[in-house]
Amino acid sequence: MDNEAKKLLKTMLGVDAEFKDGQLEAIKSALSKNRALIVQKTGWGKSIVYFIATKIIRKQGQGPTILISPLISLMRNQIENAEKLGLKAFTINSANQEEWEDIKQKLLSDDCDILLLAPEKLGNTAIIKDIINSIPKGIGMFVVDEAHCISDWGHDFRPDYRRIIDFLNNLPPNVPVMATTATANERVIEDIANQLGENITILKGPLTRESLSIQVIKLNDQAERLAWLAANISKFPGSGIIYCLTVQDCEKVAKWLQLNNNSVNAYHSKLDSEIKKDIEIKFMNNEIKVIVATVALGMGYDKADINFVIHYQRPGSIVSYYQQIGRAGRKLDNAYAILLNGIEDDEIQEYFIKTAFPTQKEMNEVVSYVEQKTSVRKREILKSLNIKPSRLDNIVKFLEVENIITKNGPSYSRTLHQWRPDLEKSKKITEQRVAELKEMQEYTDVDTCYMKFISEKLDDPYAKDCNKCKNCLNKNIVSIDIKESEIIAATKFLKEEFLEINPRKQWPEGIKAEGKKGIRPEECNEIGKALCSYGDAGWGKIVKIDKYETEYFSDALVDASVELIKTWTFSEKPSWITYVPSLNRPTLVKSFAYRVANKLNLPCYDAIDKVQKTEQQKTMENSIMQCANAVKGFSINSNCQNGSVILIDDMVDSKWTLTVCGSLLKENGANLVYPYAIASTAGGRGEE
Amino acid sequence: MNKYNDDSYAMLLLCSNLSLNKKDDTLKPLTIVQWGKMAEKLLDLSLTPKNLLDMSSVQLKKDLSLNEDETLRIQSLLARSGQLGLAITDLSNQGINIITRSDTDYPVILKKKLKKYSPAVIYYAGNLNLIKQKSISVVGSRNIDDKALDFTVKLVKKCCNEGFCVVSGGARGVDTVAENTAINENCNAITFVADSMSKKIKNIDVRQSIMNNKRLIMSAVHPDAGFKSFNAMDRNKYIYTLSNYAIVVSSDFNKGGTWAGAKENLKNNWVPLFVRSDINVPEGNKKLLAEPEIKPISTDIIINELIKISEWFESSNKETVGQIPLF
Repeated sequence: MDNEAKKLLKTMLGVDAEFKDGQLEAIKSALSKNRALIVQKTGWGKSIVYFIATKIIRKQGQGPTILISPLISLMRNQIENAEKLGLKAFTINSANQEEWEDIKQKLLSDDCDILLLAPEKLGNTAIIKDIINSIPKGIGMFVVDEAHCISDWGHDFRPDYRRIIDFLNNLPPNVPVMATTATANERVIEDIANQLGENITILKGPLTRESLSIQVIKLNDQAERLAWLAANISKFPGSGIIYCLTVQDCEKVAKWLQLNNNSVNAYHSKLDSEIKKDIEIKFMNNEIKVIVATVALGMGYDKADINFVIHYQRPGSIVSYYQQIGRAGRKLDNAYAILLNGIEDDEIQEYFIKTAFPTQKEMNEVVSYVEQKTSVRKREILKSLNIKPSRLDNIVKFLEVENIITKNGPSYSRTLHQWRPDLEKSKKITEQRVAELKEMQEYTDVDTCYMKFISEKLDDPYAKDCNKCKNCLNKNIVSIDIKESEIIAATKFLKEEFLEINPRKQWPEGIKAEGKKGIRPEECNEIGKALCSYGDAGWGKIVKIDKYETEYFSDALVDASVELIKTWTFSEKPSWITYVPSLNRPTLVKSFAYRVANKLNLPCYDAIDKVQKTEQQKTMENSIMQCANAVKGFSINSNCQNGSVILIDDMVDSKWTLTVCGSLLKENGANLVYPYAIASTAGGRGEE
Repeated sequence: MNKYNDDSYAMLLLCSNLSLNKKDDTLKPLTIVQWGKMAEKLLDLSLTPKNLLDMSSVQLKKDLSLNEDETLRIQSLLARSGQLGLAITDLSNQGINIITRSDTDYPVILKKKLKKYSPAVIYYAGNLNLIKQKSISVVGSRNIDDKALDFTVKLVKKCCNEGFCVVSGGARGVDTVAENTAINENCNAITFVADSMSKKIKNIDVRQSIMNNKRLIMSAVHPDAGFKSFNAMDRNKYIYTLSNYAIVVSSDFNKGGTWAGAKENLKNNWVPLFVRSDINVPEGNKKLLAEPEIKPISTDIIINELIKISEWFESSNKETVGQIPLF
C-alpha cells in the first residue's frame, strides 16, 4: 500500500516528490476505512492526500469520493487540481443545474472519481434520491473540507455543516471519512472530534507559515487607509488580496484603486457566479493584480503565488485572520501579510457578533407559526410576522439544520422533533466571539512575534519566533507613510459616493390587490439619489450625528445635496420640491427641504400630510409590512402642484415610503417624481 | 455516535430500498423470503448480518454458497452504505426512525406470530412503547354506513375507557374513524400504514398527537412509497398481530382487504377475532360470523355499561408460540 501511494505521488507531482510528515499516515487511515480529522497548515497538501486515497480506492473497484466543500470558488479550484492529477471530478451546485443530468450519467456509468458538493446538498432530497442514489458502486470515501465550519465555536460556522454531523452519525462503518482543516484551535478540534464520533483519529501538524512577513499598521479612518493603499499597492510584487469586512467596503476600495490606475476587481457573494468565475480565472493567470474580497474568497482558494494579503479592516478572530493570510505565499519563499486597522472595525465586528444567530424570540415566533399549519410558504410567514426576508432565510436555515422544520418543495412543515433551544450555549458562543475579538485587538498591540502570537492562540505546540515579521526585525517591512494630498483625495472620493434609488416595481400582496401587482408607470417614481450610506465614512457619519445628536441637518449636508442635485440629469426638470413629513420630528426634514429648495431657487410646498401616527418605518421588517405601514400614514393636500417634483426624505431603506408618497403625488397631479434621500440605510452592512 | 448497530445497517442495505434509486436502479433489495434464506445460512455459520459488511466476494460465494449473480447483487447492495447514511438522515430529520429485526426494540410480537414473514425493516414515528400496551385492532372497509361508523366510535370509546390502545391501518373509513376517536378520547393509537407515511406525519393533527406521545405511526415500506395493494395486504397482517383482539366492523364478501385479512387471521390463528353482528351488517360480516372460531360483537354489548369489555374479550382462545427468528 505504501509503495502504491508513493508511486502515485511521483506520477502526480514528479519523480522528486516525497510525502510530507503525516501524509502517508492520513492516506492509510482512509484505506483502512477509518475516520480521521486532519489539522495541517495551508500548503501542507491536504488535497493530495485525499486525491491519492481516492485513486487507490477507485482502483479497488469502489465508488467515487464525495467531497464536501463550502464554496463554489473552492470547488472550481479543487476540480482543476484533481483534473491535473488525472482524476475525473465534477460538482453539483446551484450554479450548474444544466449540467446535472450529464453528471448523473457520468456517475451511473462509473465515470466520476470525485463528486464535489456543497453541504446544503446533503439536505436536498431530490439530489440524493435522483443523483446520489444512482451511483452504482456507492460512495467510496467521504471527505469534509474546511471541517472547522462544523463547529459553532469556530470562526466560520456554517449551519449547513450540521447536516454533515447528522449524516456521519447515520453512516455505516464501512465508508472511510476524512475531515480536514487548516484553521482550528484546540477547542474547535475537540468540538469537531466530539461531533464526528468517538472513533475519529486526530492528525495534527505544526501551523507556523514560514513564508509570511507580517506587519500591523494602525490608521485612523478610511480615508487614511485608502490613501495608504493608493500609495503602496503598486510597490508590492506580483498579485494579492485585500480583505474587507463588508460588500460595500469591498466595492468602495476596488473603485478607489481602479481610479488610481490599478488592475483591481471586487469579489463578494453578491456578484453573479459567472463574474466571480471570470475574476478567479483572471487572478489565477495574473491578469489582475489585486482582488478586493470579502470572506467569499477565502477558504482553500489555491493560488500558489499570491504575494500579499492586506486586511483593510481587522477580522473578528485570530483563526479567521490566520486562515486569510494563509492564502499568501503557498509556493513562495516570501509573502506579505499586512493588517490595516481603524476605528470602525470594532463596530462592524460587534454588529456581526450581534446578528450572527437568530434571536430566541424570532425563532420561537417562526416555530409557533409553522406549528399551526400542515405546511406553509415563506411568503405566508412574512405576511404574518414582522421579520426581514433575509432574516427569515437565516432563521429557516437554522431551524432546518436543527431538524425543527423540513422543506418540501417551496413549503415548510414542522418535524416531529422537540424544539428545545439551547440558550446557555448561544450565550456562551457570543461570549466566545467577544473573547476572540479581544484577542484580535490584543494582536494589533503586541510587540513580540506576530506569527508566534497566532500559533500560540491556535494551540500550536510548535509555536516559535518567525524572525520575519515587523516585530521580530524591529523595523517596518512596508512604508507606513501617507501623503496629505492622498488623504484629501480619498476624503473627496468618499464624499462623492452617492447612491441611486431604483424605483420599486411591484406592490406587495394585499396592497392594491390580493396578490402582488405591478406598479403602473403613472404611479411609479423615477430613479432617485441618496447622498451617502448612513454611518459610513464620508457624509454618512455626519448624517448620523445630525439626525440623533443635534437633530438638525447641517448646512454642509444641504450644500452637498444641492451640488449633487445640480449634476442630476432630469428627463423633465423639476419645478417644485416637497418632502416626507413626520409627526415625531416635524421640522427635521422640512427645514432641510426648504433650505435645499431655497438654494436651488425652487419653491417648496407642504403637499403631503402625515394623517396618522404609524409605527416607525424602520421597525417594519418586510415589504408587505413596510408598504402597508406607509399606505396608512400619508395623504395629499391641496398644496400638490402640477409639474415634476423632487421628493425629499432623510433616510431611505425599503423605499416604500417614497414609493407610496410618489404614487400619491402623481395621482394628485404631479408629473414626474424624483426621490432624494440624504442617506441610504439599505442593505445593512452587506455582511458575507 | 452512530445511532444504528452494524447488524441493522447490513439489514437495511440488503432488505430496504432506502439507498436505491427507484427510477434507474435495476438492483433490487432482497424479498422477505430471500432474506429468510440468507438469515438461516448466517445462523448456521454462527454469524450475524454485520459480518456480511466485511466479507469478500470469495467468502460470500463460498461460505454462503451463493452463485455469481447473487454474490454480485449482495455486494452491490452492501456497497450503498453512503447512500444509506444519507437516506437515514433524511428520514431522521423528519422524525422517522427505523428498526430492523436485529434490534432489541423490534416488536417481539410480530416475530412471534409472523416468524420469517415479520417485516425485516419497520419505519416508525412516535412512541414505540405503545406496542407494549394491550390493544384492539379495528378493521373494516373504506366506505361505511352510519351504523358502522356509530359502532366504531362507540367501540373505540369503550375500549379507550378501559385502557386499550387502538391499532388501525390509517385508511379512509373505519381505520380513520377508529384512530381519530382514540386520539380525541385522549387515548393512544397505533397506525400501521401501507403508504405515504412521510406525508401523513406532516398533517398537523397527526403531528401533534405524535409529539404528545399519543400516537405511533408505523410502515413496513419506504415512508415515501405510494399505494400498492399487495403492501396493503401485508400491512393487514401487522395490524392483526400487533393487537390482542381484532374487531371487524364491516367486510365485503369474498373481496377486499378486510375479508382477506380476516380469513388470513383465521387460518393462522393470530388473534381472537370479533365481527360486528348487528342487524343489516354487510354480507361479508354474515359469512365470517358463520365461522365457528369467530365471535359476534354487537352494539348492544358495547352500550351495556355492565359489561367490562376486557373481561368480555378474555373468553377467547390462548395463542401458541413456536420458534421465532433472531433477525
